[in-house]
Amino acid sequence: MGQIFAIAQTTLGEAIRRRVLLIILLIGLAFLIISPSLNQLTPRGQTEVLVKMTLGILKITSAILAVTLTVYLIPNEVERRTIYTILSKPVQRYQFLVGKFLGSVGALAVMIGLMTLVLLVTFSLQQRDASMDDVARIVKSAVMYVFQMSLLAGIAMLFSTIVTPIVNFFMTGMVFVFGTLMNPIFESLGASSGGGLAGLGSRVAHYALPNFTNVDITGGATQAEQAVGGSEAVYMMNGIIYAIIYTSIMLVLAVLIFDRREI
Amino acid sequence: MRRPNAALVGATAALFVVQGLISKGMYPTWVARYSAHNVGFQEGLNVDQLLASVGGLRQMVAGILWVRSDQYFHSGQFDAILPLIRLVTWLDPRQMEVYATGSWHIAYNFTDEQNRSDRRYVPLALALLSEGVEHNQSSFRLFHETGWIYYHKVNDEFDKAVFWFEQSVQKEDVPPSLKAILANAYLRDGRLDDALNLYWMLQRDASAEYARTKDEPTRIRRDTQENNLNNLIMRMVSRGIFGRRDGVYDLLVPGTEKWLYPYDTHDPVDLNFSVKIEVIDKKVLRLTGNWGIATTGARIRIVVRDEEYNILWEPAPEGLDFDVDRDDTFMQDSLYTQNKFFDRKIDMSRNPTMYPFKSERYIVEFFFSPRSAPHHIQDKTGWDGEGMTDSRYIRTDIRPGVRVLFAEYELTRDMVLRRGDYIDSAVQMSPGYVEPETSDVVGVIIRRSLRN
Amino acid sequence: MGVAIKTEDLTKTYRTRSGKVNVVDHLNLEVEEGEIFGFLGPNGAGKTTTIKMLLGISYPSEGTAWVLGKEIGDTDVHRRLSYLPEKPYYYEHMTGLEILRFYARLFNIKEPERTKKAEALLEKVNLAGDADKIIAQYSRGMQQRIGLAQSLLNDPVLLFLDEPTAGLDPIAHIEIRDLILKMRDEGKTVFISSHELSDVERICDRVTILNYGKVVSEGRLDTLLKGGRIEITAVNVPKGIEDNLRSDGVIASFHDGRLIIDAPDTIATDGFVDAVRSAGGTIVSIIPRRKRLEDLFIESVGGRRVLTEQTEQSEESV
Ligand SMILES: Nc1ncnc2c1ncn2[C@@H]1O[C@H](COP(=O)(O)OP(=O)(O)O)[C@@H](O)[C@H]1O
Ligand SMILES: [Mg+2]
Repeated sequence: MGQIFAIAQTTLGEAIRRRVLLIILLIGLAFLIISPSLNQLTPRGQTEVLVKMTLGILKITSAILAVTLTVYLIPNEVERRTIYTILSKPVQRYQFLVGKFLGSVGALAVMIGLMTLVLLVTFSLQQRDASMDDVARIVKSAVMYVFQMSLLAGIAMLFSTIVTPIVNFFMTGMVFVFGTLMNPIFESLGASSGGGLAGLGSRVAHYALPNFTNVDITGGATQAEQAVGGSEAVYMMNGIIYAIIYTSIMLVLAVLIFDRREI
Repeated sequence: MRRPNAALVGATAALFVVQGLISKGMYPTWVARYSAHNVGFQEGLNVDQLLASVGGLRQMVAGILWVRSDQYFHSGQFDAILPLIRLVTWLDPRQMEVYATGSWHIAYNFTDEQNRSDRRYVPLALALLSEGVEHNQSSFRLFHETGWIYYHKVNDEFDKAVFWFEQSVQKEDVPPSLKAILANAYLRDGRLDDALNLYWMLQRDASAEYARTKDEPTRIRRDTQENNLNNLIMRMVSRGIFGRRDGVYDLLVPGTEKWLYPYDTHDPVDLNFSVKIEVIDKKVLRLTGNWGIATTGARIRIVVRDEEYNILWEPAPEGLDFDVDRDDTFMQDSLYTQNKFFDRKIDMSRNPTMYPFKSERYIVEFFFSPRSAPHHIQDKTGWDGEGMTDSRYIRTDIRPGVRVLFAEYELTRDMVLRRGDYIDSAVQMSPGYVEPETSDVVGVIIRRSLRN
Repeated sequence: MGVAIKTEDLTKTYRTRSGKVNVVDHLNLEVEEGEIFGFLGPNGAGKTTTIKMLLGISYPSEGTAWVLGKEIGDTDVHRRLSYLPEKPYYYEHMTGLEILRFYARLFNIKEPERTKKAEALLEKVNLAGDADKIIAQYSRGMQQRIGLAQSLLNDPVLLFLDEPTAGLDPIAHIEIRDLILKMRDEGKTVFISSHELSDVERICDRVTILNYGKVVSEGRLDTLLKGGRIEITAVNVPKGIEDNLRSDGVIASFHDGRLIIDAPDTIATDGFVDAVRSAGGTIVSIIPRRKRLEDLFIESVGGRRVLTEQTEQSEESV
């Protein structure tokens, strides 16, 4: 455990110093700061649109950060041979992998937290009519993003044990796109086709592949609608548990592969 | 750890099943709350839409476009707005704000120099809303907005407003304060008992709520509901609704021909409507006329339109994909009456895109319905116009169940443009038109008695 | 004396474009406790691959090995050994002290011992003054010393040093040689791999020379280097006499009456001297030469892959 935390902490320290990540973070922050000021208040306040838009920016920035952060995590260690020094210590490969992963999730959480904070400050300065509901919505969505991006990082981590970073970047990107569209696709398929072998196949795919919409509450309507379909807290909780379980599966698979791999 | 650890692999497989179950369990909630295609709305998969909905990109792009379209509104670049709203709602159909504000903009904010809105756009606003409603079935929001356009902007055909408000009040998220609007719509639709019932129920709910919370906002709401209820009962009493129903007014003093309880001591008010339509300049009309109700506040709707173009207050069948036809002319305004007359200049010369006047013949309509009149006017006319007469223009076929005033005149293109035979003057007027007694003092009531 | 390392037909096969290659080919080694073991060979001989297999970083395709009595694959023995990789990098954002503390945590060394140990080691490798500089500001030599320091954190009984002097200047060579000698004096086993032949290799008790993954020569250094040569230089040697000498030695050069003879140290020196002098020549010097490691190398690897700086081949398969 001590080893895992030592590795995680070092990874976090390194990640928040990486220039690429800082640049992405800054671009994201710039967008977040500019976007609320784009909006001249109209007689009918538009905070709802604004909240959604800025959360969209936050989400994309986080996803890019998550992928950029993780695809190079293991390859860099091998290339710089730092991994050899670590693995020649009483450290198991799974400890190394988990430590690296936790470190990057920590870094992600810090960055998402920072962006959320900036977002809230910008809102409080420029959107005086933003309600507590808006604030709660931003915070809740950001929390979900941390878990969503952890899942994304877990997938990138798994791929990084198999493919090169560039390939990984695209593969993870595709999984993210697909995992985000899964529910809409399934919904429309379910509406048109229904049962049969194809239906079964699509159901299996739907519940087997990583589903990012489960870990996202941005797409929904305003809090006014939250009563529909059960409590939002329960939905969020389910989403978080889902993300943790799925991420764990990704990590176990990554460890199983990494354990057998030449480095 | 080179050999796969059987326990680990087993546990992972179990976790895999668990995640599938969680995902399955979450799906119905997602459909109910987060899906772009809401319950009951199913159509084929739109590939473009899918591509655009990568991650938060969809919402982000929608937001940016929306901000742009809002800027266009502020700077008056109206041409760019419809396509933008089209794109935004297409990118994020769950953005109710866009439907609500977008339709409001479309219905209200395309205006001419004199701040008259362009009614040709109302069907487009309704189309946008009906699209939004399809995507956002579970919220009251867009039902309410649609009802509001009928209730306030169309301000006619109140059965449609009722239809939408009735759905709005059934949604779980509707704020109680927005329920009373349905009662108003009932009243304008002539459904007094439904209005009374609703007010009564709202009052009962608000009282119960106040008994529970004992806080100031709920107390205010309860008081409002009580007032609403009291006022309506009072009006129904004073306008003789209950008495008529009970047959009290049919009773005679025994042995005589006299009513025991006379319903109304006054004769119906004579609207005595007549009008002179004068084209005082190219595309500039002056409307002067007589109006029998001395009390200030009645408004007579005037419409100037192409003979063959009339607006149906329905969602445009083509939806938002097409702009309105810029060759059609439709002007709607209202004539404000005071001191038993009206005098109004309507200048349509400065907005050629709104008033192209491409047709050969035009209809000028005058319309007054007691249903949408203010309370003090309704006190004279009654809800259904039973308290008003006019020797020429009372019609019962225009709006079934209501006696309304309706008069129609024709103008030719030459008249509107003041050319050909009409180069010197172009006037249309009611038969036997007599100039109203006017005063130079504007805004002062000169009648000695407001009663009649 | 026990056995620190033992390999049994240790083999690593890589698939390359030209087919399968045994980069380590049925290697059988024994390293005794307490000795400095030189694992020599040109670039690409398979030294690093062997070390990686011994550390469980890479897996053998065939055969097996024991390190400190445990079969490879058991990370527990890592508590008692350490490894200084070839041309290592360290997390550049950390200071020397932080790096050492980080590695100490990997050994579960708790505070305050952790910091104490880190500081002591920085002292030992002469970096105490640079403890708070970040690694990015360290020279290569300083980085190598940090590497040595981290390899000493756990008081290892066995050290693997992969090319510890590669790319360092001669002074650093000497510093590292002294450190290694100190470790031997503390009773540690040191396993040094190298393709260079500097002072460091000369301190090895035993060497194995590897080429193409196979052992081409092994033994105690003094035994391997037995059989030196002798060099005799004379002047004023008349022409024609050299033919009489040729049978005994090798004439390295004969020019303008100056004759240099290079012969095995087993030849009768006296006879040589006599023959030269009787011909009227003057002996300038007689220099006995020990066999050089270089010679051994050249002999062993057949002169084809000698100590030229080959371009490094990629060693990673990512
Ligand atoms: N992962 C690998 N895939 C293929 N060949 C490899 C790999 N790693 C090393 N080699 C090859 O194995 C040989 C031995 O490499 P190495 O052990 O690093 O040599 P040394 O350390 O003796 O210089 C080299 O020819 C190298 O190219
Ligand atoms: Mg090497």
